[in-house]
Amino acid sequence: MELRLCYLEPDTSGVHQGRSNLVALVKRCLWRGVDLRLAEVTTRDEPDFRVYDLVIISGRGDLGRQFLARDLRWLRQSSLAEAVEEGVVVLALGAAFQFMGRYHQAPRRTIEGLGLFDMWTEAGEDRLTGALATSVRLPGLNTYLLGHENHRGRTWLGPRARSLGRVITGLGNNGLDDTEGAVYRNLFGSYLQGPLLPKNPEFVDYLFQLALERRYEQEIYLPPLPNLVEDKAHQALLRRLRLDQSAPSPQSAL
Amino acid sequence: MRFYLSLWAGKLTVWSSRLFGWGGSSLPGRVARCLDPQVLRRLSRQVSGGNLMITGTNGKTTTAKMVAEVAAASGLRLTHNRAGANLITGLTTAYLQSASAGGRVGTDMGLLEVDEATVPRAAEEVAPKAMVVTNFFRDQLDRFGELEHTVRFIRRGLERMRPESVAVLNADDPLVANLGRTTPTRTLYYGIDVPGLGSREVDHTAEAKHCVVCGEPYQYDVYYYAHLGKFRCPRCGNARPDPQVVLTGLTSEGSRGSSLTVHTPAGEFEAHISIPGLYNVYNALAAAGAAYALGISLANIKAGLESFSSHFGRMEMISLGDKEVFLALVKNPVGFNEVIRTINETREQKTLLIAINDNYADGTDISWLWDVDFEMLVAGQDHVKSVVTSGQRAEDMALRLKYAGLDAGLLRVERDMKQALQMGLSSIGPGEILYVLPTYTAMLEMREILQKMGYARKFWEV
Repeated sequence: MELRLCYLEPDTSGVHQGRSNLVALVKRCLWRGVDLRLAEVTTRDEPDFRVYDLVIISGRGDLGRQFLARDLRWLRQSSLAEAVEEGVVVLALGAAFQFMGRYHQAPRRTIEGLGLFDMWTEAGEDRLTGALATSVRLPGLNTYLLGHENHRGRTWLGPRARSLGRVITGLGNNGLDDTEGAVYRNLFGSYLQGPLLPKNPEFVDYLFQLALERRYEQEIYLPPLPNLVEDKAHQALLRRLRLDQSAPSPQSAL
Repeated sequence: MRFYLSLWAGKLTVWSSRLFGWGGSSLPGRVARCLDPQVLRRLSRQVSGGNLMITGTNGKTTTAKMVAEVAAASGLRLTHNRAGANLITGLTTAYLQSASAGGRVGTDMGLLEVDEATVPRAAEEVAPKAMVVTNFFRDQLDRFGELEHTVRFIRRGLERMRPESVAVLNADDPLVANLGRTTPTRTLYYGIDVPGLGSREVDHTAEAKHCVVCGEPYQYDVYYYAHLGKFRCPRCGNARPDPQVVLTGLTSEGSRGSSLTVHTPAGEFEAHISIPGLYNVYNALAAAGAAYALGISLANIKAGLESFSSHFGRMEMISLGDKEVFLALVKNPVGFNEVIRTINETREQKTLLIAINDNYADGTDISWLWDVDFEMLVAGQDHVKSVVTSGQRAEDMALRLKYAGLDAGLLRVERDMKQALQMGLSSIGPGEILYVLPTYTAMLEMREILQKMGYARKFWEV
């Protein structure tokens, strides 16, 4: 089997989001014997997102925040929205997640987003930061997603938007309504970082499965990989968050 | 009156901290500042030689320690926040310790390592004669939010300095060098200019890919490490400034250190420093630049740098009977990569103990572990005998190593640091080295364990 992965790192984000998510995808493909065709692109390239099976957009608004508008213009002109409508599996993180909404409002300017999610983001006074655990229930996925969050934006979901998960510990989209992230078709947005994918291998495999099933137009069974080290890290974090009692063994759904 | 009340209360706290053996080096400052918020201002402005502030992401403590040696060689008495207590309360404590009961400071100069976020306030209160900015790297991002934000702290600090004071800046770091464009102070740049040194390949930990003026990607004639190098912007021409204090020659002697040739406007000198790594060469240049800016002679700078030896486990060797422990603090990707490079210099099979905590002082967001090039460590898999991971985030560290490609059979997870240390020591033979790499609070814990075993000094005595 072959998987065409596009890893997009906004060129002007200055500090990269961290390669953990990419490392997790590459290694798990390797361990599964899936032939990975990886394209690492930046906003200086001109990719056609529709030719990929899986697109990861990392975004940690950092150093060059003044350039975000340029990144967004690039994204708006790209084929990303069409790719999402066609069912390409897309994971948008942090600032990229915010881009997928209708708009982002900062004190001095409002940036229009892609509008794929019915949601908007307002810049807050302080940063929402700390450990973040959410409970995710999607067809074929019932798990906890664990990680860290660090964002200034408060994101609000409109009536037509669905959240990715429900906050168990942490702040999530806005610190008030217990929602975290968003889902639309095969587009997933989240504030989870540090690292999201290595620590949540079940979610990686879920994305793989969606992408491969769409590509090969058939049901695909992904045999479980030995996740001993991953499970330990996952469970250690659950213990720290004192969720171990209520946890329905997060890895059991595989 | 308020000042004296504050002074005595502070000194009493210093004294009782010593008596009861508390390691706390910020409490006396906190107590004194409650009673008189002006206490640091009043004490610090008495020193005739002025104050030197040292800030930046990496190398603050080492640079300060090097300057301390240089000052000692020049016969200057120092007020120095030695234990790395670099917040405003720590600076205040250092001055309380130097002050007599009458409020007179008995030293010649203040040497203050300052946390980035504390720089504006510290600059305002101590009115420094010079400020060294070493470099900017992503470090404990959750504390300051963004690198841009950190740079702003420093800029604000510089704006509060007097025009005759000096900003001592790393010319090779675009983010640092750019501070020289706006600072109201005089500037002195230091940097590296050694033909054949460095590489043309970009390191993925590089932070400043884009011109701080116009946003165009920088072009580099050479990278020394991470984003430090000879940069220039092809669009607007913003480029690395010509440094006044320049490394013109370098001979690396592996783990025994390096020999430097340094050119300054006052002439050239050669010095041998006894700690390894290019980043320590930068620390020595920063120290030399600062000392030069303060008017210290080249002979004393050379003497000071040469008498410097590694301290407080930035990288040190401890003998444990017939075995040795190599102890190196790790706190961000760049520093960790340098430590891995140093370890990789020896060819024998290695046993490592990596201890990761996520307390406030370590940074609660440990995602930076994913930016460390553990692949470089694991690539010579034959050179890794086993790795024990420990600390509060032992499992996360193990996960990182698994994804770096380490054979799970070589990996053991033991949260308890004492157990982990024993595990590590028992798996090496006589004459062998256990490489212990802890984060800041894990380092404190590790030293306490070693101390109970009778092997290391209390860190505040170092």
